[in-house]
Amino acid sequence: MNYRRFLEGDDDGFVAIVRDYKDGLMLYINSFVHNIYLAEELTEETFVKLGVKRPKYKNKASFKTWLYAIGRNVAIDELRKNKKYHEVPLDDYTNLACDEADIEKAYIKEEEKRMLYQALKKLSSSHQQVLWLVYFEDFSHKEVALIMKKSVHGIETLVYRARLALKTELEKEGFGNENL
Amino acid sequence: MKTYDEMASSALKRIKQQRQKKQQLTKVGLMLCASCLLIAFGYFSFSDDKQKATLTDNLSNTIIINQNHISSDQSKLNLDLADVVAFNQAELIQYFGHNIFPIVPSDLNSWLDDNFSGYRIYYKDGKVYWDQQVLNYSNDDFSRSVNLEVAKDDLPLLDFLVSQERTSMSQILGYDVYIADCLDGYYQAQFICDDVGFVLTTKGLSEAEVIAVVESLLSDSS
Repeated sequence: MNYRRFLEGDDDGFVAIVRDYKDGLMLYINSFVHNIYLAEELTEETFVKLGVKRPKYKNKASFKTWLYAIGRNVAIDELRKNKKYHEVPLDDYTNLACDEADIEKAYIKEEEKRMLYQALKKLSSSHQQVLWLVYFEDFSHKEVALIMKKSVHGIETLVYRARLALKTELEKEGFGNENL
Repeated sequence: MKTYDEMASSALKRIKQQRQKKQQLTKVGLMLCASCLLIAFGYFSFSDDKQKATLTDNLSNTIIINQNHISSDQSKLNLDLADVVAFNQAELIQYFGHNIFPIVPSDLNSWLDDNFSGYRIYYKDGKVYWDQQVLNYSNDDFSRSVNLEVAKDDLPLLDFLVSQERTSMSQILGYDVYIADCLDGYYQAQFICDDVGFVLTTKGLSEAEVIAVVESLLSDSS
């Protein structure tokens, strides 16, 4: 496993972790901060935390679940520290949108899922987070509960409400949602 | 935006810097600790016995670890998904020995959807250790809702505050029912009926509608 390789002193193990998880983690963190540049910084911060603290991974959940839980903590710390909204200067806005679209295109291969992601971005932050983890990262409800530090029942309820909100959003856009 | 390799090398660089900084801080910390120990040793060597006794008393902690005599699952700390037995609606009514599904106003729908995999009872070593059920109903815009928590033998455990001033109990169909109006659109009701505990919370329902929901649970003849 790459993390074990890294702990044993092999930096290539770390590079492999970044390659495997960077994009997905960045889009997940973006659902908290809504700024892809800041999400990129926080993703790097998550990897740095992993490398400096070298916490013991106890196999209680998959490595990915564990990494996303660390990423969530980093994002929440950032929101606590900088409660004011992260404003993007107008000139940077076009670049931000383009860069975000590139990441999405690279990570979300299917066109239909990309359209779903666009609708997802109009939902509240917690609805975005839970649906991202379930639909785009294929985490089980139990894994999402571990990442978001909620009960499985709480996650089921949140997914239900988020799906309703997403359905409304898709209907507004005129998309069918039979498979939702 | 950074490529994978750029992010990896930038992160590795920061990791190395931070680890070096940490090592330096540890060294400084160790030196400071050693200095403090030397100072403390010198101080206590020349101070009187009374002062020494007071400081020792302040530093000594008393640690008592009590034995709970019940396991984490029985204390509801550890609900293990491996212990779940899925029940359907009929099986659940049979288990409780009483209907637990209320009749709610017609604009409210159950939250359970097509993917619902069954009601959960946690069962281990021949015993049920967690049977609390949560049933939710709401209208389309969530302005009206019914939340019902049910458990066998006693009132369900709650994670919200219920008023303790239960001086006046209603009598509905021969049962004692505690009902409270929270004055902001919420009602609460609690009652035990045929050894099944119910806690009902409603939002946006009228008093008459709340009573009707309670009656639908009490009038069971399963």
